[in-house]
Amino acid sequence: MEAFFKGVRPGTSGLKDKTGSQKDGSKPGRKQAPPPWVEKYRPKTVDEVAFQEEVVTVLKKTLQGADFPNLLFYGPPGTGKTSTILALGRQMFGEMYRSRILELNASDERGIQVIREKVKNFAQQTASNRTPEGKPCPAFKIIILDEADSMTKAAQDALRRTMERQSKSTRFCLICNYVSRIIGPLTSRCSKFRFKPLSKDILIQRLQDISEKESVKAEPGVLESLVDISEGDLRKAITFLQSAHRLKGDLGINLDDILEIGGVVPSKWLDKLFDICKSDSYEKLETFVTDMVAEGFSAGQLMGQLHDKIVFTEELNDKQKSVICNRLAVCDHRLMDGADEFLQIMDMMTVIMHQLCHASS
Amino acid sequence: MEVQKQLKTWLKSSFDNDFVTSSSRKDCRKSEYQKDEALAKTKRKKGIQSQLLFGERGGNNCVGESWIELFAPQAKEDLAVNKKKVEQIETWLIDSLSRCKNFLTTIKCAPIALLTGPAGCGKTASIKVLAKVLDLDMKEWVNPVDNSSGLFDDGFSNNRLLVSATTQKEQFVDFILRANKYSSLFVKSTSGRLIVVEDFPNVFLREPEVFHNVLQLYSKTGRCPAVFIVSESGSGSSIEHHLFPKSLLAELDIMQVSFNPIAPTSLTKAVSRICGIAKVTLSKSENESLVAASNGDVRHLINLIQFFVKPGSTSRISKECKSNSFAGQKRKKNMVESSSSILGERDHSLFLFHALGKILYCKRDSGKEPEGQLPIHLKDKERMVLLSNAEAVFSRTAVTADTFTLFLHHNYLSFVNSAYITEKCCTSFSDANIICTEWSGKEVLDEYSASVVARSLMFHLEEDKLGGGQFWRPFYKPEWFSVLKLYRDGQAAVRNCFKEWAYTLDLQTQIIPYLGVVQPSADNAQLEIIKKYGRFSSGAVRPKTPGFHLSEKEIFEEFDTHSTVPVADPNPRVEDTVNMCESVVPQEDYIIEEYDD
Amino acid sequence: MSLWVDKHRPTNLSKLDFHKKQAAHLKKLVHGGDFPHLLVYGPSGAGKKTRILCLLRELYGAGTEKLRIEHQHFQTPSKRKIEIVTIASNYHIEVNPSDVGIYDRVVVQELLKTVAQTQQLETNSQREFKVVILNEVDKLTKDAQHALRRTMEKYMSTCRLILCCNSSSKVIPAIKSRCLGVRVPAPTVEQIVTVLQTVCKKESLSIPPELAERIAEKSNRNLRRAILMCESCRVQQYPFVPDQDIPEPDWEVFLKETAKLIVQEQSPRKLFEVRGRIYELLIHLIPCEVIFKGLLKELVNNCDGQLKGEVTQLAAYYEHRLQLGNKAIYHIEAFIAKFMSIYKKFLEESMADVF
Repeated sequence: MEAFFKGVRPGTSGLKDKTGSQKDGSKPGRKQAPPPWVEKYRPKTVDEVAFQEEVVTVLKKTLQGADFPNLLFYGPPGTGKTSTILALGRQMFGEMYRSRILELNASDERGIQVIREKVKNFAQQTASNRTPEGKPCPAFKIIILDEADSMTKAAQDALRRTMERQSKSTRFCLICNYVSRIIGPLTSRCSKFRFKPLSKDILIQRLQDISEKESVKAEPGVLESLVDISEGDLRKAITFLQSAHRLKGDLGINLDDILEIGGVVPSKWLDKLFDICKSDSYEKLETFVTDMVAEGFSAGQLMGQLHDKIVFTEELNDKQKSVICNRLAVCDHRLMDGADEFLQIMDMMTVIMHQLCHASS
Repeated sequence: MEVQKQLKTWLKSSFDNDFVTSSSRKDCRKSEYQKDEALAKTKRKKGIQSQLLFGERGGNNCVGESWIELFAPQAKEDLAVNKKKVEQIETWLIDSLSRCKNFLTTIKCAPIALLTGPAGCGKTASIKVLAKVLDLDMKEWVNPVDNSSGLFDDGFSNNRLLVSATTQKEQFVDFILRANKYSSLFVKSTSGRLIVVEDFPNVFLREPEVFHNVLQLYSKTGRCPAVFIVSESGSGSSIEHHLFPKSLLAELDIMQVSFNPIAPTSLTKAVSRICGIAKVTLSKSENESLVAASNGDVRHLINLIQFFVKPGSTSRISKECKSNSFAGQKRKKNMVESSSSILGERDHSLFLFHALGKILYCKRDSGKEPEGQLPIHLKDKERMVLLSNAEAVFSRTAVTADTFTLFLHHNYLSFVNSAYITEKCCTSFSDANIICTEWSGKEVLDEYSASVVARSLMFHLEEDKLGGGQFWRPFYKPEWFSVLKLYRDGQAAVRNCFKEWAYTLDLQTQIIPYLGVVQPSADNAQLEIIKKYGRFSSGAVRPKTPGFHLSEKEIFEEFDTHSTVPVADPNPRVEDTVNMCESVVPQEDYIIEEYDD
Repeated sequence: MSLWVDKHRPTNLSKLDFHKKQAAHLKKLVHGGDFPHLLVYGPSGAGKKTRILCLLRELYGAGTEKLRIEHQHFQTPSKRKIEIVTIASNYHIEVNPSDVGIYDRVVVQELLKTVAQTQQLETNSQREFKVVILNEVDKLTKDAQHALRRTMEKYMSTCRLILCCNSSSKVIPAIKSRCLGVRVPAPTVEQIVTVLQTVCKKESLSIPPELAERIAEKSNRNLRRAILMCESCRVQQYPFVPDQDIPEPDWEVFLKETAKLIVQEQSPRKLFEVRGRIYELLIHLIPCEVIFKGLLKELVNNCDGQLKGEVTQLAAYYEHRLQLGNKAIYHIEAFIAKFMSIYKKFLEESMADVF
């Protein structure tokens, strides 16, 4: 859902701005699409960032000092990494933050060349320590590199030197999910902040706030399951909520809608699948899996849900679980490589069937 | 004489057609070369002398003439080629010349001959000698090096336009169609003309059809024999199969003479002939080792002699060096060894046919015990020592691992009898294919993939003693390439015909087959597609033959070796799809389609 | 005369035969303020395309039915010219980028750029965006998918994407998270029966319920297949009789025969014969994964419980390799050889048990 707010983000490429303004100019009568909620309810100040107290306190200090080192934010998706740095920038630069922040976020536009040129060009622009109105502001710019873990090693190496050379005028903020994928020399040049997965309560509270403001009608329990589906990812949760609201409008959102939008395989299907595995009948299994594939469920999703179920079930002993989980990983990987869904699910289920019926004891 | 020669050149180029400029010049030079035999002979003699005497000191009399030219055979007897071959060509030449003389009455198609054989087996030399013997005016095509040679500098014509107007291809066509009609004004005396083409314009390699057309045209209009000379090479694509397919040979009644590498005995004779002219003596052992090193290639042999003789000129040239002491002999011997190892044997590559045999028949040294005994529980894995090394065999075939594997794949099944062993072999193909699909490591891993397959086959086939190679089996060419081509053509055709349907899974598996049953008023093109791809009985698209025989000396020409999976691949490898797109139906087809709409 | 499948395709969201609830939701979405990018996924023959076309009609009115086939030309950075067929109306354009193989990225980027930058000619249309339908997104290269995600953001103001694919697990998460996922499950057997009956009614034919049911059963929940089957039944024999022959596609029969051959005899000679038949299937443009699934289905019938699982796992293993590799025949053949070996052993053991 990032797509929806990328358009209005600051400091994006020239082309985008151009098309945007062109459109605004030529068709003033057109109503603008309402902004996505993710953007609308993005925290405006560092204080508003949910649940990341440690990070927030440190960052607030840097705000007072009006300077900060290079930053490296890491943590699971949707925990407020991007929001935090944007809010920080906004608080620091006020109105000017569009011209002071460069955000690069797509994995495909970040070869060494881009790092060298775009970043360099941006870093070389001088930044004064006064706003046009004469208010004092920090004399540097911020470059945000979103999804830094998908950068190539070479690009990361190139970045290292750029970071050193531009340290006077520019601060870098690297954002990634897995800190282990950032090369050592880079991590050592940044102060690292880990973003914790958001707790369920916080998520529910946020969602409730938004539902109230947007007057979303939802059955009880919807928000809870929404939180479950989104796995601690607030952005995902908000996006799902908005999609559900779009589809249902005043009818009110019920549980099934949320599951449907999240692409989740309903638990009754999973339970049935398990029952069939216990029956030790290949034919039944084949028919059922065929049906399941016909329902259009995503096999990748199914693998994830199966995993949760396997890990917590009491019908299997540890050894059996490990055998199954092993195959789960293999099948999931094969799916990533583009293997056929039906065959992979069948492979998985025959293993589970075997473990359930023949490998106990 | 010099003046006359110059005059001739000048005259000739002005009379000759402009289009064959550079080639006609060469022609001119050639015929001169023959005409001024006497001059050449004296010159040659002088040259040899001077070269031998002063060559290493930078003698200025005769620079740049290599021994190959110096010692080119002058008479039939000089030729090291098998007598029968020479006779064959000679009779053909005489016969076709007589036919050509009264072409109006008897001739049906112009006589064309095709000489093939490995490099340096005397193809060109034979023709040259015969041309001289029969007193023929030999016209040779030489690829123009530079189109914009200053011959269009007449101030009137726009250089650029003219140059671009006459491509190499057109020049060639003009040459071949006109050279046989207009004889050069000055060479009246000869008893006939002969066209020789050894150098093929590159265009034809890309578009063999064009060449075929030219040949057909020549066959209809030509009035003198034409000889095409093609050198086989162990590696790379062979021009022979490309430019002269069997069908064409039959259609145009082309006589094919294939030369073999020259026999050692003839080579020895050649060595002594050359030594005689050059006034050098070589000992018998030297002679032998030179002959062995040359590997049946006369040209290589002469080169070897030249190299061999030159550096040690003080001791080599026997006139000067009369002291044939024991020490000298020894030194000589050392030199022979060292020089032949430095100069190297000719890099003789292995024909695919033999390579396949080496892997699949998998000869093992039954006399030798394997090194290091395996423990009891692995005894069944123990094998005798291999006679040929799989990697060496592969690297000498000069085909890609992909092709090599495909050949093995297509042929190994007739070597196995048991389903269990088939399974083991089969998995290695799958493994090998996986190994070399990662494009970033392709170059390195290619070799390994070939190695995996070859080794696995060698290992497992041994287990299947029954099939181990007692009797001879023919080798076939893999079908995969043709299957792939048909698949791609089919896809393109279907896409073209069913534009209104998105090309999805159901189109091939459901819509087309059922359209075959329902057959609403589809247009003709669609009906044809339906018939071809929907039905198995009627539209047998695959050629019914079990595959094409791989003949012993055939060189497989690889066409897109990096073939793709015919599944709609989610992540096609980079180079794969490049090929895929290349082989998509050419532009014209689309245009035709548009009219259909 | 066009096929029944086309002729009786519903053109209005409210006239869809099944998943009516979803249709109602989609209608709401159209009339709501903003229209997001959509990712429509589900098995083939479930009616994804029909649904998308209905949606377009709902968005723009009948103008979307005036279609024209166009050839678009693009040039790759390496100066190679590529051509792709698009189907377009004034309001939307439909394209199958995977047609051009590796160059799909260029098509995705360039096409979206052209569409987004050309202004809508008819100013009175009520939408400020055009729709681009991309088919088979799951077959796009990863490269193209990443490019797509970028372009999606860039031209959000002037165009919306409707992505259509069979399996959503082959679409990268970044795209999934930018789209509203619409799952279109295959119709159930009962739903297919109903549809068949409506279609026959429209053709003023009467179809015995038994036959309709048999066709539905045989269609593997693929509505397109069911209607095609029904129509070919009509061609072969009318009036319908309940137990009449339902024609199967030739390739299915052929595949079944191939499986039979494998079960008959397990030897290298047979394998060679089977290889020829696999080539034949490939030449008839049958995708490899279909061959795999078909073979598995037939082969498994001859095995006992334990063996079935084993064979299935083998099929899954080699089908995956096929996706990785570039010579399908190796992997299909390896699967068959493995099966032969397992099956032979199984036969020999059971023989030994008997005696």
